[in-house]
Amino acid sequence: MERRYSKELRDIILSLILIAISTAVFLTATTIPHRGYDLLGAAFLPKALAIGIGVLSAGLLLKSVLLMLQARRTVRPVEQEETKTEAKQEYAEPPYRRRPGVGFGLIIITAAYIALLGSRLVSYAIATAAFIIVSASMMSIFEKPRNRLVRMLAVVGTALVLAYGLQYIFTQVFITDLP
Amino acid sequence: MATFLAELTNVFTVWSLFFMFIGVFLGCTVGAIPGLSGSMLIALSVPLTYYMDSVHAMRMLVSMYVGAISGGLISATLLRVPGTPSAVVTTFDGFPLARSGDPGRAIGVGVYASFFGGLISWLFLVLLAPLLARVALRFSSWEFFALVLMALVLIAALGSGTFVKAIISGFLGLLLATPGLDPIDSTKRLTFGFSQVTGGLGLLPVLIGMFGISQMITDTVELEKRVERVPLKFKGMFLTLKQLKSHSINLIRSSVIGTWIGILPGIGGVLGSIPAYGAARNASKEPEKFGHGSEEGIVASEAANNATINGALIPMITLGIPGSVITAILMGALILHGYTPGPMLFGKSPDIVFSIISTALVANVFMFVVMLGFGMVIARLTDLPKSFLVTAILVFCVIGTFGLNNRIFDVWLMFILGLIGFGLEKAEVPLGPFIIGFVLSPIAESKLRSALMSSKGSFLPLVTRPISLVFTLVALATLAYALYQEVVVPARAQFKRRRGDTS
Repeated sequence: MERRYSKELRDIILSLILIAISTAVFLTATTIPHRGYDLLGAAFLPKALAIGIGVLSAGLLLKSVLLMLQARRTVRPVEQEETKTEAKQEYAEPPYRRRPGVGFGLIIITAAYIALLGSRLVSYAIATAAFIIVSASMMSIFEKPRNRLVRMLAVVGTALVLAYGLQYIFTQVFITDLP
Repeated sequence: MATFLAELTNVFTVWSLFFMFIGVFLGCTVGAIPGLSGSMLIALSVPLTYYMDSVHAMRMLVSMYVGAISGGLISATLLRVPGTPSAVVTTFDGFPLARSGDPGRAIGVGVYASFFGGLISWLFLVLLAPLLARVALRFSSWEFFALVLMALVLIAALGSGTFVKAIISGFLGLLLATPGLDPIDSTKRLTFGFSQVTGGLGLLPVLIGMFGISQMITDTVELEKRVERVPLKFKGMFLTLKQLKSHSINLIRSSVIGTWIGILPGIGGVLGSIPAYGAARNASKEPEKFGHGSEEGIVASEAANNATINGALIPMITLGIPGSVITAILMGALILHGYTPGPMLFGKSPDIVFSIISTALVANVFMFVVMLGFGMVIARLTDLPKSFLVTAILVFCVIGTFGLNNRIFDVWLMFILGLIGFGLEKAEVPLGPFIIGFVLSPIAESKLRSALMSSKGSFLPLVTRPISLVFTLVALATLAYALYQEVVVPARAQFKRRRGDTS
């Protein structure tokens, strides 16, 4: 059942978020002063777009709710349909396990890397090398390399070359002040 | 003409050739690696070009565009995974032909078709761009506003995803460009207390976040994705004149279709190859071979998707309206280098216009050489572990965004937009309209407001001026068609199904 409604549920969540954003933008836009230099003023576009997004999201919400209710009422040969879809997917691409946990881990590591750069506690090269080693090592676990030691050495080598190479190029060639 | 010839000779300087070769090689490589895209490569390269001479910068970026669209052929043929969305149709016949024992032939046919597609559409670029720019000089604010409106509706209606979600995406892009100082009266708006936003949200954090970060998260989640591989062989890669001649009509037809679809504002290469493929199948003596390794199918798809490149450059150079997502990024690069894309560009900066046009030709030749000469090397690069690619690209995302203004705020902005982009993609909201909306927002707003000032608040010129009327009608017709497809067609199908159930 969860699978059957997942698309509608996702659209409902999306439209609710969009309605909340458009409401916030509209309310903020009402505080923008109109200087009278032109007819529409600075608030016009944000307000118009907020209304547009709000209305379209409301439509999407209504459609998703109706589809969900309709799916509940009608009895469909769900199992048969799902088997068919799975077979089609298998033809399109071989099955594989998705790793949302690794994706989440990468988001956290990247956020930590940006925070470290912003804090200026360590140099750019050290922060970058550490970021590459940590994130590439985490991903390598799931890539199952033939020789883990060789992979680790490659990761460390890449990290050092990239981090110090970029630091050199940006500070010495492009004359940019890196964090 | 004299400027064009002078610029054409400038192409053959060592540095120009070097940047074009690098651009094509990187483009082909990135285009061939599933999970990386030309949009991402070009968005990531824009900050690096900031330190370069503008002409060399545009040469490299345009070359990347040519390479990225062409490189998709390698993975589409050898892995059945389109490296770029525009190579989707190539998988239909490229992979079956490669698997039947002729991978060299499949790649060879595709490379030749890409080359001729690029060449034919380049002729259109050279002939049409100056004419269109001259016509566009007569456009008033109303025509430009109607054109932007048409571009947004077209990309939402004909792009990927549902129409409503695509329109929402376009609106979000337009909205994201509004914070900062108002373009007409400089009123501060939607800054939410952040002084860094006063100058507006930068194009680079938006582009790199949307195309770089979101794609890297997706690639990490799909870390264990494996594909069937066909090893590439040199045998059959080079075609004889007789073999080429047998494809000549298909080549010309598909290139013309691709060019015209590329010209349509906001639509990229994916759409170019579909009608070309259909037309080739209809005209073929062996339509039953299509989908089973037909050379004609590969020719149609590859000629058309490469032809869209030059097609898409036409509205970008002449009207300041991007013909595809990548040209939206190229437009951003032009703006960063201090140019204003649009009809005035021809008069004010002919050097940059003609350098783009000449690069489109030379990069096409480089593409031919790189794909045939280094195809085997590029095919091997698709084996690179994702852990290396993802982390290296993330490092480039961060340094590229930081390097432009030396602000960590921009890096956070890019990161957050990347997460938003990832969320939007998961919700099947296409990112193309978002980027095009973001790029076109300032034009749309300033043109509408100055147009209304000139008409004293009346919207009538939108329908009383012939050119703006045409653009408005096309926008309305596309809107009606899209709504019909999204609302009426499914409702009718459901009604029929129900009637069938009850009877």
